Amino acid sequence: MRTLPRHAGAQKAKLRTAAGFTAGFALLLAVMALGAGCGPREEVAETLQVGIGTDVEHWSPMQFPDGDARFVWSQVFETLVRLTPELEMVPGLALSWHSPDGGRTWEFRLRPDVRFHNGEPLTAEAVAFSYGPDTYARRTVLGPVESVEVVDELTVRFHLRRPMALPHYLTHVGWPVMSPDGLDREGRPVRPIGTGPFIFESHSRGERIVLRRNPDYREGPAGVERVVFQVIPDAAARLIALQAGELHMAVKVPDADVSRLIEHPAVEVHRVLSTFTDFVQFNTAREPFDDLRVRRAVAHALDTEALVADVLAGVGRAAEGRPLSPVLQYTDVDLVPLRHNLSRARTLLREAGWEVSGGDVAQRDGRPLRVRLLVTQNPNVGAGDRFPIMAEALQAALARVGMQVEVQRLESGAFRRAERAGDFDMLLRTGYYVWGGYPRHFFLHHSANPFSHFADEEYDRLVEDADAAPDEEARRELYHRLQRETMERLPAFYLAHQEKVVAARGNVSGYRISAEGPWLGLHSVTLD
Amino acid sequence: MLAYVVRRLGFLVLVAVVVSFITFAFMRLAPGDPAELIAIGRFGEHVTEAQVEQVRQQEGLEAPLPVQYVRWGARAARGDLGRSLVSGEPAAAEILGRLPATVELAVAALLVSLLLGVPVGTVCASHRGRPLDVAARGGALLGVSVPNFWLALLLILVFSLWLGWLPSYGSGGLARLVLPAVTLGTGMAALTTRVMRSGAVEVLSRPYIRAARARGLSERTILWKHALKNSLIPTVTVLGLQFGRVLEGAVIVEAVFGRPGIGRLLVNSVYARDFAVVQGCVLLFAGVYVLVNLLVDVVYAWLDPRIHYGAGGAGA
Repeated sequence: MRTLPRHAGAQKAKLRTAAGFTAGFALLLAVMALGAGCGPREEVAETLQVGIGTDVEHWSPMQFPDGDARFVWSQVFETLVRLTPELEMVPGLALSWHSPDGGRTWEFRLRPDVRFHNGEPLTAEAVAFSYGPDTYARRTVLGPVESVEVVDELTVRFHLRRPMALPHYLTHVGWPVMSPDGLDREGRPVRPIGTGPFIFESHSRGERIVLRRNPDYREGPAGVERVVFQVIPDAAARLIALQAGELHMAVKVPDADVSRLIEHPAVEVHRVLSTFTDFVQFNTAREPFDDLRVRRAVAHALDTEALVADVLAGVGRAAEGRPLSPVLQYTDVDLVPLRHNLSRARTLLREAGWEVSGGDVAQRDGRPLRVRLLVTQNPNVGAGDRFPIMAEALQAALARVGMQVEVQRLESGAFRRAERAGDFDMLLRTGYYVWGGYPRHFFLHHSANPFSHFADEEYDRLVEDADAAPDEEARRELYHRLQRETMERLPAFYLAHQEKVVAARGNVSGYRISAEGPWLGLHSVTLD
Repeated sequence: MLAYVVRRLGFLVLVAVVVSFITFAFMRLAPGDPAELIAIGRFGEHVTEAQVEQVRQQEGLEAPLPVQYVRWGARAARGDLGRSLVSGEPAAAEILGRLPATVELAVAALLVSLLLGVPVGTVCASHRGRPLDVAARGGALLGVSVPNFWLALLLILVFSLWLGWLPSYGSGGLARLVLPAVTLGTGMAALTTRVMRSGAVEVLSRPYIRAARARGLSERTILWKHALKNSLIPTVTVLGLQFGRVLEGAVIVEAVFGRPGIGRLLVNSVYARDFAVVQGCVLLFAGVYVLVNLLVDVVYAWLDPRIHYGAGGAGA
């Protein structure tokens, strides 16, 4: 008898309960939001928040600072020779330098009255320590350095096994001058101690690095009291944080987001051509790329202008085979580019014996023209996120001339093994031995280089001669010749000069973007 | 009960050994010479054969795989997981340092999942087949289907960028926990809802519920007092399994929200071939998984007094 009304009542009760739960949940969210205070907009106006993608893993001169760690290092540490945003070499911690014997010995005169963050003066001893025999730099790029001699308090002399343009090499922020007090007796880093505009304050692993202004900085104290580097690996999340005003600056803006950010009223996009160039490197040790004509066919089959415009969303500049970014020293602006020309590409392939007859894939002696292109998979490494889509574009473009490309994305260990075994035809890469304005990059194609897949004695000699050239005039001439030879012999085909993109909120002023990849000049930045 | 728990803990050791051996083997069998990769990390791209050999000797990588594993196991048993190749810090310290952030995220996500899933599932069961039920089930399907990374960005977009209510990244404080927990929790809530619903549907058809109705108890009392506890059993089981989902989801959610947790540490370590840390993380994950499932079984006994974990294993 009472079933019906009771049932209706129970219905309502259930709904009420459900509504209650839902409301409770919403309330909980609200309380959580309020409970934590004002959240995002609580930071002190004098603190500059910068979003980076990867953390600083160490502060040691024995290892290389990978990824975005360099942006942080460049606030704390300085180098003997510095680069302007236009990549000109200017005195850094060294006031002057010279080589009395054509590059075999280099003497650096240090700036007096420079103090490390712990108050100790900068001395020749600290420089000798920073470039000691066990350091990363000496074990790698500074290999030709035989010894570092302390001449007096403020003079340090590098002795080399062969002539070398040493000042260029000392501009890299990855091997700066550090205080010996930063390491303990076993050589483990205890605390980063440099001479830069910011002093290390704290580091919360995987989360943030806090730096505070160095009041005694030699060029005057920095414009902001503190810099906090926030580690946000996801690029999209980093950009939202910037747009939401939680960050003042964000580095490494993905190509696809650049045009959208430019439209954003509160964000300013700083961009400049960087020193890096993306390229496909050929395995010239085996068929089909042992044949120069096939390499040339690839060069003419690829439309690098379309690649930059469509695939890279207009960020960067088409290289059309030119190996050096226009911002580098000794870049020959009159180089004749390798233009997109499909019929030329097809003719070259035909000359090399690869015929397209029926089907889509060219053949020679009954074998199809199939090649393997390797791409790294690690999103933390340089252009890791850009490469897969570029590889697909190359695949489509080469299919049009009858070359079937198999794209393989490999983890770095597998990539290295395939490369070492020579088990590939093309590699997609960027940079390589590139920093500052000096075109050290050509060493990549020197046959003695473990990453070279090209062997040409004449080319090797040219690379060595250019690096050891006695004077500027000769060096310029040799590097111009190297650029022509590289485009002639094609150990690699160069696709696009990269752009460095840093986004900043409108209230960040005084920032000047540098063409030098890992450099982030925050000394002059102020917040309005 | 105690004997049962002890037995299960013994099982934990077995799982740890098996899981760590598999990880150990895979990390070393993956392409690329570990000694070379470590040497590159230490000496830069231009490693010489001599440097690689030196690393091989130092790290004991010259020994056969089983020998290497036993050596590692012996050290691990004493709590020494080795040093991280990337940072040079002890791996155990690296992992423990990141643990609180992940635990915080996991607990918050489970909470979100329960707070959403249990009431919605229960209500669905009592509204079986009606529009409310269909809508909630549709919502649940959407919930499981939406990938974490997308939902994370969507939530950031709405709550951080448009509304400006919550911070979009970082850890520490409740505000920074809300979005990650909701991201991870909603996917789990979907499953909780479905399991809770089918559990409740089953329970509501049992004779004792009919008896309760016959005695004239209100539908509300029947549902929330008599049916709920019994319907929870499958949900609790799934909760244990869902813990695994939290750890898996943490990998993505921690990256998007810039939280310094274990998930992110694991991914970075895999990329860097940081053997010691990967090994430690996997060991921790396996241990947590086993312990949570043990906890689930114990909670069963509390929820359903008919379940006994005797020495004979009756009923288990």
